Amino acid sequence: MARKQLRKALPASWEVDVSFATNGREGLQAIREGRGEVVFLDLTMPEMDGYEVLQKIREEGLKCFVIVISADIQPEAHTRVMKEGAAAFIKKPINGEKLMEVLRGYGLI
Amino acid sequence: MTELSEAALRDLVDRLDTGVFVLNRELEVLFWNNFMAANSGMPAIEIVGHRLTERFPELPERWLRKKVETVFVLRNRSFTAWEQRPYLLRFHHNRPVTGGVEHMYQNCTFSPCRNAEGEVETVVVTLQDVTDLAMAHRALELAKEQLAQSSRLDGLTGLFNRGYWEHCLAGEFKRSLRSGAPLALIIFDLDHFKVINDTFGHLAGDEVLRGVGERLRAILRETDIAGRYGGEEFGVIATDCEVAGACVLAERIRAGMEALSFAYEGQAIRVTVSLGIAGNDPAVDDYQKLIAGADDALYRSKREGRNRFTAYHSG
Amino acid sequence: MNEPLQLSEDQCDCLQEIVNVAMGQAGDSLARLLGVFVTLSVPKIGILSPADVRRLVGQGCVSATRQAFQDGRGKDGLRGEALIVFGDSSFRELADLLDYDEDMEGAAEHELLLDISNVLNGACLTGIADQLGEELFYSAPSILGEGKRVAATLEQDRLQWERALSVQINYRLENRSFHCDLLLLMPDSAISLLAGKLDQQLEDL
Repeated sequence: MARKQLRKALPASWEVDVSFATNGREGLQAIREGRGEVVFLDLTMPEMDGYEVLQKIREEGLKCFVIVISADIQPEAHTRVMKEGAAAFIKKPINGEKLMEVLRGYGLI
Repeated sequence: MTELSEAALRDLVDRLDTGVFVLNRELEVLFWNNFMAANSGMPAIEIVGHRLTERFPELPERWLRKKVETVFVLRNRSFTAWEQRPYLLRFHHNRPVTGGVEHMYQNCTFSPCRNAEGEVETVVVTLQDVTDLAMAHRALELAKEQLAQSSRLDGLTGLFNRGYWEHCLAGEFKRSLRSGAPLALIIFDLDHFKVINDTFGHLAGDEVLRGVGERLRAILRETDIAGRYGGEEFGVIATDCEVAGACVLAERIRAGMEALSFAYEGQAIRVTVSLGIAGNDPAVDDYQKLIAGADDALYRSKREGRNRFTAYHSG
Repeated sequence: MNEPLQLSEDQCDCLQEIVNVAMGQAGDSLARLLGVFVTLSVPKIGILSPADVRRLVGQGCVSATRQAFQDGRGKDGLRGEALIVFGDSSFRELADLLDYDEDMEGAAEHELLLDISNVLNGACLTGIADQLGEELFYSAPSILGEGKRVAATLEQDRLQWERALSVQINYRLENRSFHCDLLLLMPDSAISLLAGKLDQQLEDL
């Protein structure tokens, strides 16, 4: 569902390969394999949560651009992920325009 | 007419049997219905435009601010219930005759009131009089307590019945084993009670038993636990009491009963009692042994002429 | 026997995401109320039997509250009960966070739990309802019981249903002992309406 919502919000014209992961550990593995230039990261996930993934990305010096998309809308959650190196924070439910704005802002589309 | 006018709606709110008032974020009162005015003695004209806490300084302000602020911030209703907070504002109850309470019990609801932009601008508080509900609930609790109590009591003497008294003895015995505090047991029995019953009838016998129970309660310390052990047999658990102390108590019981006189159909009925005492010396590891010891001592008192007490000595 | 209640995998997934968002909103409310960071975990959707509920509510429970909710449609509408189970935690700590002046004794402790229940349930239910394009009305919360009495309240004969749809959410306060579980339970009769609502959401994708 979250993935479908995200796919719907992403511009149809964006020519990229999209991989999905069902938990933090899988996601991290995909990033390690270089399958994630742009990562849309949830915070509440089984196995490994978003904060841990961000931490690993930083520790391992993985090259990727992380946009956190989370239902955890506490201002403190926003502050924390930005400190951990995320490029942007988008609240769930995803606002398509907001997402486009972020992608455009970073010259990704 | 297909719709109520604003004036009619206002009139309706004023006729409600429920308190309705409106607060802004600074706790200033914007509306105060008739119920509030009538019960608080504060007419709307004196409170509208003023802070609620200024007019009712006894309100817990810090708590109330948080409560109202929560409704503004979270945009959801919030509640108070009489079980936890008997009242928001201390009003008189409307039971001047039947009484039984000191104030009105209240359930309150704090609801957000949004403006056209969907922003919460004010909080509507409704205050319901639930005194009757609270009273019914309290009566039920009381009845439950009385029921529990009555299942422990002997109907004739008002002392604990044998079952509950033994339960107490078991508990006190365990406690004394743990703490090492002394514990003594007195068991006594009315002398020649059968003669009283045969001569004056069972009604007279019951009267005597009731009187003995009453006198016993008057003699005992608050910490002593008395029960009707059998037909004409009584038991007293003397907590924190050595055998020597129990002997003093036993003598007071003996003398107290000897002094009793029951007037029955123009005749005086007198009673005496024989008592047995046992203490929890280290050899006693079970409360049943304490009872057996006191019983043994009681039997000696009987054998040695009645109207006396004996302390149990093993061997 | 009735048709067993069942949500398809897609419907479950959809509900999970809706609850996820609602949980986040409720967590944010609690954080704002208490001024502390709330740690969230993934909500669980499931079908529970009365025995499951007793096990979930009975274990290590210190106190529990209940609050009813409904959509105004009546007995076949979207409705159910929200239970919150509080684990062992310091009341004084919570009381300080909520500006309670009084000494924390029985009644004040209960009021505190009711306030927190109301905030969590209110925010969570409103969050779910908003996403479904519905409005939910909820009653004032009440104390379900404490410790062993909760289990007694939920004795066999009191839970006269076979299954209920459940949503389980765990809330923890960072660096504090406080934690609680929110359990939304909906009866069989509410499922078909809910399933329809979820299908609408799925179609919109």
